[in-house]
Amino acid sequence: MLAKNKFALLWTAVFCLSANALGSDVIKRNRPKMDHESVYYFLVKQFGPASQALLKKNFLMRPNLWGGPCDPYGQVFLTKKGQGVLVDEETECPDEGMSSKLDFYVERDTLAILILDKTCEKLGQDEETLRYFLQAKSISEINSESVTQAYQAFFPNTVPSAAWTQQAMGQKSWAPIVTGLCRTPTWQFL
Amino acid sequence: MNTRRQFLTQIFGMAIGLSPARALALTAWKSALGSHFFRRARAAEGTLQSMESVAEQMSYVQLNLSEAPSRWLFDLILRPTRNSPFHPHPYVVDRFDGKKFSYAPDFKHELGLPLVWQQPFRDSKGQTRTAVELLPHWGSIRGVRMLREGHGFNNRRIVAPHPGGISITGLLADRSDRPLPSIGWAKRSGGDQTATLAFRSEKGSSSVNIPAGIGDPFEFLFTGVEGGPIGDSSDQLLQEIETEIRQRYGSIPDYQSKRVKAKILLEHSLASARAEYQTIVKKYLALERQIVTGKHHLVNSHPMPGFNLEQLRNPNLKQRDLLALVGPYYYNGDMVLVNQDLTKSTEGSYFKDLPYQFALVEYLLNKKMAQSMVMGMGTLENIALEAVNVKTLPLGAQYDKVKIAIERQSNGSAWFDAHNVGTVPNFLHTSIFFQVFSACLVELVDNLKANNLFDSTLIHIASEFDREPNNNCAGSDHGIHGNTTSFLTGKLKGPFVVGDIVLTSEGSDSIQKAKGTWGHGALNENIKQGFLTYENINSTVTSILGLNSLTPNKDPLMERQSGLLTPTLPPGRNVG
Repeated sequence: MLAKNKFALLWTAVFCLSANALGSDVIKRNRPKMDHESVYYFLVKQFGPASQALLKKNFLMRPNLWGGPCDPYGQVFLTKKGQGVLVDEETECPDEGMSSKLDFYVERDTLAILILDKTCEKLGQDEETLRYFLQAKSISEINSESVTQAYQAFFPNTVPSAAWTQQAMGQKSWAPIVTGLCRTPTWQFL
Repeated sequence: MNTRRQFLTQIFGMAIGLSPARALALTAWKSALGSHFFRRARAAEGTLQSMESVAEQMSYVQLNLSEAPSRWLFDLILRPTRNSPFHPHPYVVDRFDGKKFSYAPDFKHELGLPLVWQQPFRDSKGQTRTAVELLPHWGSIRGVRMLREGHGFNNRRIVAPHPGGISITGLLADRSDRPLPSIGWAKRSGGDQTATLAFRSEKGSSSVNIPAGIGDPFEFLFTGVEGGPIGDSSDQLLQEIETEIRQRYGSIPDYQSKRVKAKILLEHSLASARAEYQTIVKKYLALERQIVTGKHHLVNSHPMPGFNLEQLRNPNLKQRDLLALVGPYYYNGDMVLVNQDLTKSTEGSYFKDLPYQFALVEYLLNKKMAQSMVMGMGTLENIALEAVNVKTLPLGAQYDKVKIAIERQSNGSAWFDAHNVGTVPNFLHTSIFFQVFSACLVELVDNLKANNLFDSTLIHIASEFDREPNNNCAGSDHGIHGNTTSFLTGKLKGPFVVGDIVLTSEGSDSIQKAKGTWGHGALNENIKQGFLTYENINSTVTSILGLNSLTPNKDPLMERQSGLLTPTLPPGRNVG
C-alpha cells in the first residue's frame, strides 16, 4: 500500500514539475504586458491630474504603439441616463474603430520608446507633476528610503539593487531619478 | 542552412539505404541536375536563398487600390502583344476620341499599353515625362484567382493569406530595425477593413495606422516627440534598472539601441524635418494639380457630353430598353449624368490623401525610418455633377409633358467599386486617378533611384480583385476570378506580363453573357495547381523580401537570374 502511495506521490511530483515547467514559459516577465489604457491609467495615478492631457495624447490616443484593442462600445458603458454626454474620449476608439482589433501586447518600437522618453522627461521636469509624485508617497529628501519608495512606485514589491540606490542617492534633484524610472518600459512588464 | 526540400532528399536517400554522406551527395546531384522536374523547386529555393542576404535592407511599399478599380485602364495589360487575341467589351475601354470609346492599346513599347501610360506630364524638374519610363523595372501578374468574394476579406489576404494570421507586413516588421517598422494608411475612415488592418506579427511588433482623411500625417506620427532630443541626465539610472531586470528575469528587448535610434531621429529638430517633408508634399501636390486641373489628362482635348435627354423623345423607346440606353452614363444607383461636358465636372476635384501618401513614402524611405508601408489610395473627390433620377424619366410622348428635375451635386466622390457606375464616369474618374497615380509613381521612383534605394525597395500595386463588366455598361461586378498585381523594384528586369486570361468569360445569366476580355484567369499548364491564386502572389512577395512564405505550397512567380528578378512563367496569353 505504502509503495503504491509512494508511486502515486512520485507521479504527482513529476506532473507538478512538468506543469510548472510548461507554465513558466507563459509567465516570463520579458516583454511589456501593459496596453495603452493601463499605461495611461498607471502614469496618471503616479503623476496626478496635471499629467492627464499629456498622457492622453501620448498613450490613450495612440493604441497602435502601446497595444490593447480599444473598445468601440466603451462609451455605451459610461453613458448615464439624462446626463447627455454620449462620447467619453477616454473610452472612445480614437481612430474610429480601427484599433478595435489590436493585439493586447505589443513590443515597444523606436517611436514608442521616443514618446515614452519625451513624456517622462516632461513629467520629471514639470514642477506640478513631480510634486504630485513625491507628495503621494510623502517623500521629499533624497535618501535610501525615499529612493526605494520612488522605485517601488514603478516596481512594486521589488527591492532596488544597491548600485541603483547608490546612483539615485548621488543625484542633486528628483527629476533624473523619476525620469529614469519612468523611461524604462520594464515597469510595463508587470 | 538546408532547405526543407534538401532535408527531405537526404532523409529519402538514407531511407533507401544510402549512407549520410551518399545521401548528401544525392542532394548535391539533384541540385546540379537541370531537368525540368527540379527546375521550379530549385528556382523557388534559389530565390529565397539568394534574397535572404538582402532581406535586411528591403523595404516594402504596397499601394493598395482597395475597392478594386478598373485596372485595365493602367496595369492590367489585356493585349500584351499585337497577336494577342482580344474580344472587345463596350465597358472595357482606355480612350475616348470625341465620338466613341474604345480599347486600343499602343504597341510601341514592347507591350500593348493603355493610353494612361503615354500621357505626358511635367515632373518636378520641369521635364516632360510619361509612365512608360517605369517599364524597365515593372512586371505584372494577371488572371490571379481570389477564390472567394468580399472586399475586406480579399484585401486583407493580400498581406495575410490566412484570415487573422501572421501578415507579410508583420513578418517584415519583426525583422526591421527601423523606427517605424510598419505603417498603414487607411483609405476610408470608420471600419476600414483592408490590408492596413491585417497587420499581425510573430514577435509582437506594432504597426502605426494613420486614419483616413487626415491630410497631413506628420502631426499624427510625431505628436508627443516635439522639442529636440531628450537630455541624458537619467540615462545611467535607467540603464542600471534595465541591467537589474535583465539579471532578474532573463533577456529583455534591447531598448538601449532603440533609444540611440530615437536620439538620431531627433538629431535635427522636428520643425526642420517637417519642413523637409512639406517640400516633398508640394512636389506631389503640384503633380496632382497639374493633372486634375490642367490640360494633361487624356480626355481634356475632347468634350465628353453626358446623356442627351432628347433621346428620350423616341416614340419607340420602351421602359425595358431604357437601362441599355442610359447605362454608360449611370452613376451611383439610379442617377444618370446628363447635359454637361463631363470633363468640366472634375475641374474643382482633388485627391485628398494621395499626394501626402506618396510624399510620406518618399520621406520615410529616404530617412530609412519605415520598413513596411501600406497606403490605401483614395479616389477623386469634389466632383460637380448634373444628374437625373432614372426612375423619373419620361419616355416618348411623355417627354414634353413632364419637367425633368436635374439634381446638381458639387461634392460627389468617384467610386472604384463601380457596381453602378457606367462606362463614361468610370472611364473618366478612374483614368484621372491612374494618371495622377502613375505620375506620382514616376516621381517616387526617380527619387528612389537618386538615393540608391530603388534596388532595396519593393513597390507592390495591389487590389482585392479586378472588375468584371456588365453588358448593359451600367457598371461592373467583383472580378474575383481575375486579379492583377504589379511590382516595381530596381532589381526587377522588366517589362513583363505573365498569367493567362480567358478571351471571353461567360456570366451566369442572359445579361451577363459573353463579357469579352477583361482579365478572367485561365487554366495554365505551367502552374502545378492549374491556375494562379493570391497565394502565389503572397509567396512571390515573401520571396522577394527574403521572408519565409506564409503559403509555402504555392510557388513564387519570380526568380533571381544574374542578380535580377525575372518571371518563372512564360509571357501571358489570352486563351479560349
